[in-house]
Amino acid sequence: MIRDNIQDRNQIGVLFQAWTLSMALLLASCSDGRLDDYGDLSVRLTDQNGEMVEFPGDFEGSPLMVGFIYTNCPDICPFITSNIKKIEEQVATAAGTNAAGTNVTADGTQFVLITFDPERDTQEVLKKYAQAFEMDRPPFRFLTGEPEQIRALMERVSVRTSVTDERELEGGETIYFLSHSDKILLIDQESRLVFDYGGSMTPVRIMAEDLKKLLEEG
Amino acid sequence: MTSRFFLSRGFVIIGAMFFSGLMLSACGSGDSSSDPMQGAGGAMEAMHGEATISQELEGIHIEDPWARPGVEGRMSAAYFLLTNYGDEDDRLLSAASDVALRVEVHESYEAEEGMMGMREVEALPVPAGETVQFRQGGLHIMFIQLTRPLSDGDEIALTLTFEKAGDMTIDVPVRL
Repeated sequence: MIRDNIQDRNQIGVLFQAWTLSMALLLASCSDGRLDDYGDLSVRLTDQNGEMVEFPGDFEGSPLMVGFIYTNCPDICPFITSNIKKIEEQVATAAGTNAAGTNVTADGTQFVLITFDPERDTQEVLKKYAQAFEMDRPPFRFLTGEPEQIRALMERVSVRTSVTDERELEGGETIYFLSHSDKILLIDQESRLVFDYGGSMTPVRIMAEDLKKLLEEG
Repeated sequence: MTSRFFLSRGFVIIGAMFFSGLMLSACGSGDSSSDPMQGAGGAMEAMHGEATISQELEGIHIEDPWARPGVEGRMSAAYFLLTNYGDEDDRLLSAASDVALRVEVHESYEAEEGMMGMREVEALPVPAGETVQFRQGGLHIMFIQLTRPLSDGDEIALTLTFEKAGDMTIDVPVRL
């Protein structure tokens, strides 16, 4: 009986401690206004030059603007890609130009596009895509990876895809298109999610302003 | 409705020509060193310019075309404003270009919350007196499997086939 009481009291104590801890965590997350923390993620990816990248670890220390695309997409994904480029141009213009006359972001912000169609979007394909958009240069990176790595990442960042239109072209080749989430994320210096935007729908000016604010916060 | 549009527009054009002439003559008289014939010549140029514009306002008119850069074997899209200045409704039936294996009229749309989908549009209505916008995130001409890379500064030929206006071929600049 006494032992039962002690056990009950211990259980209540543990529950109370857990509740206190969760409240503290909740308050902490509320106080910095972050939507998620990707610090526990470790996704191995490859950039358009074949360099291995770990997401988000290799991007820690500077803000990250990241869009999600596939290169067989004619409209929305090029729109997202172009928006990422324009955000960089707006922020770089604000930061000024370097001695060579190249626009630079003074803070080292990185601008990344990650494919959710890794089977078709190989490193070589992403390289050509980056070149077509004149983005095959820092601070831009185009990332692909093993399908299971990409799948885990997309699940975590809530990017959904589904095959909607599959057809055979003249010549017998089959091609398919995807319905997909329309997304650009702003991630802070500590791999925490600051904003989750409609990637093609949000005005570039708003995303650039948010990035500038994040940079000012340090 | 459409004839009223043209009547009122014609009135505005004549009015604009009249005031352009007045303005130009006023400029001529205000400057003693200028040739008085310059004003008249300017007015003639203005009339010629207006005549050209009113001629262009007949039938289907395509403005501000542009296309995205793209990778060979992949995709691109073209955008423009399509205005029917005619008296009859028309329909865009198809599109063709030698830069892609297939060229189709498509529309991006929000399939569900935050999810973007795409669907083919067959026989797109282009009503008399209205402008149809082809723009990013909406209607677009879809180039499926480009036969060559498209880069900023290139120009491609695009033929649009309308039910009544027939074939119209335009040059579309490629830009970022």
